[in-house]
Amino acid sequence: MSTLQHTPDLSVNVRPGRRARYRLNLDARSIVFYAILIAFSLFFLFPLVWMAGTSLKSIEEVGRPQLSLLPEVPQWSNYGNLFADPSFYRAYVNSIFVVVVTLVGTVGSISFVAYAFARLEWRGRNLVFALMLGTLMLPAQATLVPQYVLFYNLGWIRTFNPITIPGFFAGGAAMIFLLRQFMVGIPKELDEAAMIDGANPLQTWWYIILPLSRPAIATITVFLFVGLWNNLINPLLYLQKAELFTMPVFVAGKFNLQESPIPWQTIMAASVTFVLPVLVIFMFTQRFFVQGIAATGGKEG
Amino acid sequence: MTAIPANFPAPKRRRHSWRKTIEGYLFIGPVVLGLIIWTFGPMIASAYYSLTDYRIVQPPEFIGFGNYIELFTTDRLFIQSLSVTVRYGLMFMVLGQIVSLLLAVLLTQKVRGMAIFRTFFYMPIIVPYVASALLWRYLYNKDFGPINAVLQAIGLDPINWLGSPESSLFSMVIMSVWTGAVTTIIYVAGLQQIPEDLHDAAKIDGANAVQRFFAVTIPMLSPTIFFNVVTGFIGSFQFFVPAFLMTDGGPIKSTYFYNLNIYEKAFRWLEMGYASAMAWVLFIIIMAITVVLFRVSNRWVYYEGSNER
Repeated sequence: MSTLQHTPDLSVNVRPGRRARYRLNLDARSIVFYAILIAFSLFFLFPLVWMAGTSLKSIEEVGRPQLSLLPEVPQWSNYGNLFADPSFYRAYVNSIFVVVVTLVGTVGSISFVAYAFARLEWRGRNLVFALMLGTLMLPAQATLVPQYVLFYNLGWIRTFNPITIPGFFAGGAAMIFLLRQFMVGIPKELDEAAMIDGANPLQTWWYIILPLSRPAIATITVFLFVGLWNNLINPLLYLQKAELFTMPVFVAGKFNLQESPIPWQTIMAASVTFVLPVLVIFMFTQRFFVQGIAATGGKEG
Repeated sequence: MTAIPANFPAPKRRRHSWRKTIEGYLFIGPVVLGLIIWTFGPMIASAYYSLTDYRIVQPPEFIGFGNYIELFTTDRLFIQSLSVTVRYGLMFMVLGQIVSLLLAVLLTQKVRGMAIFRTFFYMPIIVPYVASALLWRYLYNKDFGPINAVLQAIGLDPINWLGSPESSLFSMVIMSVWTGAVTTIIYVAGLQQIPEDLHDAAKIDGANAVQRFFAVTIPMLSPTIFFNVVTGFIGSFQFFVPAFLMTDGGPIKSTYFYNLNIYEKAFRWLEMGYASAMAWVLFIIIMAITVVLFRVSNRWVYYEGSNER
């Protein structure tokens, strides 16, 4: 009885209040509120706008103190020179190749493994799952040296292998965790029905679970994409040859302290072409991206 | 009901049949192999290398605890890089958590146009470290960087942000706050889980916004704060690319992060054994910090949650 009386009370009191707060009323408090938001927006946006503006400035303009976001005369040749540079193309193509191959391997193997953790019953499952999650505690640099030695002994230095191949072994405990949590929530009756129809676990994974896991797979794909596209340390350690360089190594190589004056406009133009794909993807997939971070605490690996 | 044949297997016993276990291991094969090949194997190898003098071109030569003894007795760069990392971690923890929490509170207000502000605030996360490190190197430039141009425009003295050992580390903290909206996102998720009736109840009791923040929001958010503090502090031990590209550890080693030290030992001087010992010391430090933070958190989370205020 008491709960019955309580429920309508809540709906009457809370709903109108909530709706009222959505209305834009410009009293002193909300002006201050928006001022704070805009101030922080400047802090977050200014560097990026500065990057884009600088990429169109001339070398004289870049080397003198100024606060102008826009170039005096847009120097489109900054981009023209970049696009005319064969090493730029090579780095871009290399980056796309490495990212696509690694993504296919990683997302494929992660979805396979997550399925076994979420839907199959087998001895030792909890132990293996706990061991896998335990590796999240390991600092990446604890394995940096021995992995380098391993790849060196395998003769994989100056190849893409150290970057692409580990992905095929379900690299990324946090992503396995995220996908497994999602798969646990899919109704069990669906696999049971498939099993009764004679599907083996492989078929159940491919025809039932994978299609239903699309939102979570989108999340981990976006997440892994950004991490792979941005990664500097592995390409820096293992590629070591200009023909193999990916974009992070290429952009970092544009910066050279021996050069005077430093061609900031070229560095920024290269940065813009490098940042733009992730920025566009972020704009369209912000929801997935934010969910991925909220679910895993921002762990990429 | 009794029509079930007597030999029908009990479901309980069937659940863990060998067939299913083999299927399970076939499915997790990739991750088990991956953990052995890329993680546990290298960890064991690295423990061994840390006890050797190993310069990759020659086979490792066993020297017992020599590397560890050198680390703790004569290597002043080791102490310096550890101190830089810890000081950065503490500064970033305080400033980063305060700013992120403030931003998260702003972003969870129900007002018009919040979606666009969220996009703005979150955008720097996806900027590659390579790009943001070079960009901030330019922003911080002593002579023609825009930050000093702003300072001079409002009549202040320019600051040699990255060029002086007093300010270089703090300059990196500011840059990390700019790229660190991951913390904000986690706080936003945490704030959205706080039931609204708690705020409503406090409001009815006459609590103002500030009182509600400290009496309701902070205690309810304490697990999230704890998570962010732990991951943020551990994350500061992973800090590498900005130090590598912005200052190369300088000036006078004021930004010589632990990771940069490991990187140089291993890949500039090819002292693989010594670098492995450094990695193990780091691993033990991170474990110790995590354990201490968990111990302390029990009291802290309990204290905040006990409604004493």
